[in-house]
Amino acid sequence: MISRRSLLNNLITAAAGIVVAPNLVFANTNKENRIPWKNWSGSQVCYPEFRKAPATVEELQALIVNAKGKVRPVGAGHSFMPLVPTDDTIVSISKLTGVIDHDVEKNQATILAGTRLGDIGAPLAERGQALLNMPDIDEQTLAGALGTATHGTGQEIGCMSSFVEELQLIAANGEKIDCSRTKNTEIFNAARVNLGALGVVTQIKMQNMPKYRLKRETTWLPIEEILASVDELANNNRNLEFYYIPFTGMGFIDVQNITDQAISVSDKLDQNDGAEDLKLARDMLQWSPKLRELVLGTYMKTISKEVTIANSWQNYASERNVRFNEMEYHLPRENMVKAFTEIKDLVEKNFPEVFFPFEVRYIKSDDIWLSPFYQRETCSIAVHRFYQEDYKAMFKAVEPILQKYQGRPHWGKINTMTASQLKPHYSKWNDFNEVRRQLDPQGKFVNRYLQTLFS
Amino acid sequence: MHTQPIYKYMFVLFLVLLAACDGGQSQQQALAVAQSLTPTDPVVAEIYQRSCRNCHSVIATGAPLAGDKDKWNDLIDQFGKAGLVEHVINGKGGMPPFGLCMECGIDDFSKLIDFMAQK
Repeated sequence: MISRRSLLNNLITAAAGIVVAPNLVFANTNKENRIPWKNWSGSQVCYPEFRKAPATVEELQALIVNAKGKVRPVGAGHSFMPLVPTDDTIVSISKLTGVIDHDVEKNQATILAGTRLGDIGAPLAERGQALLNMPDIDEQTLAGALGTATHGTGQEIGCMSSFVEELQLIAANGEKIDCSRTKNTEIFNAARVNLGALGVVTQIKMQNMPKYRLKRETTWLPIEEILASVDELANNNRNLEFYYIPFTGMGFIDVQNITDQAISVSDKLDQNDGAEDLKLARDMLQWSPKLRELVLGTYMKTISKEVTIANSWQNYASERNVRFNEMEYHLPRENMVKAFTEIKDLVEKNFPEVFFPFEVRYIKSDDIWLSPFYQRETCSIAVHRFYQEDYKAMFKAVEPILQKYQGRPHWGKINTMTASQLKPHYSKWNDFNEVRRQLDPQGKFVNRYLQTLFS
Repeated sequence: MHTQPIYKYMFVLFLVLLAACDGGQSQQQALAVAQSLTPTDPVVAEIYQRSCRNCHSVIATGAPLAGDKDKWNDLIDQFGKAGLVEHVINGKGGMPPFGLCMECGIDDFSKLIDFMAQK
């Protein structure tokens, strides 16, 4: 029996009548005998003199005290913004990993900062616990995710930083500082979303919940139906997000709810294959948007509902082996549909080369000083470009719409907002900067980008 | 004659299915090998466990599997060892720059490639 994906490929090829397979080649780069450091998508580059990975907190303290020049912590390099780049010292926390303590009664666990989100689920499950929520990529380190206010989706669930109960960091003078809601509270309010500007985080106590199973249901629908029903669905489901596939008129809603049902997986589309198929359709049918919409839209209407029941930590994230660059802004929830519709119209009018989906998620408000969700119920809108393609023109066109609807940028995703544009969104901006000055008076952790924000 | 092309297509389909079955079996064998391997050098082993294994021992990631000598030999023939190291540093396809080892140097990457190619 021919597979659904084969059918799509045949449809695209038949509709195009030709086969085109552009093969882009990476340029080799080098400078002063130093090998470059690059982020996940390759969009951020620097040539650090030193790249270190201390194996203990004591090593880290000595490294910070003795380092000449700037010191920037790096997790998984998943930030698209220039948070990491420095030509001095990059400190990887990748050797500080694991769950080192837990509290059965409070459902809390202390996790070392370099632990990747994807490596937290299993050891927590052994202790009967699970993270309250997770993003849809789990390659990030815990400290990197918290430092940039990384989030999952769910209108009643905050970003990951809102689960933090206690946090330990090493300041510029090498001092080890512990903070919580009752100890060093100013530092705690600043450090839960810190951009790596306060020091190097070493461990975090997370508020978790008893381990649980999630039922994920994926339904493909015309975008008009999605927009008409999404607000109510967000009210009625624990986790809800939707994706729109540009130039198709179609998208899919993903909802997840806690279940006791047995683990199972229905026939499921591979998202990486899906991205490649959309790229193929773009490459071959870009000359006719109507034909592209007809082929892809027709195909998408044949996709059955997918149901996946799995342990929570196995159901949030998907394997991502197609890289991209991303812009994501966090908007007041009530502005989402208007902003989304404007962006969709703009992209489909002016950027026929786009094939990556738009993504919309819900996030609960919190009380963290530099959290984009500070005192605001939020919807996030994200747009993407394939990593080998120039994202600038499209992002430049989309960003004013996101800003017009009072969007605050994701700290780790591409944006052009300056300090003067950001400050009005953050009533605690100066408080954060004051804590930063106390912990790092010489600006050891301030690279060029952070200097533009906090100098 | 209408039947001959149908038989021809059925024969081709049979060959394709046969190849797919063989491919599936050999892929499963390669996966079993990848999941059983660990570098003998403890330093390389620590890096491999922390930064490489999650992709290079999982078929769904699309990464060449550790221990799949045919695949690695093809890659070395095609790009050379230096070329593969460059792929690690700059990223290649789904693999991000540096794999996931931010502190690794050229020697580390070279040893990791040797291990995965079972050189």
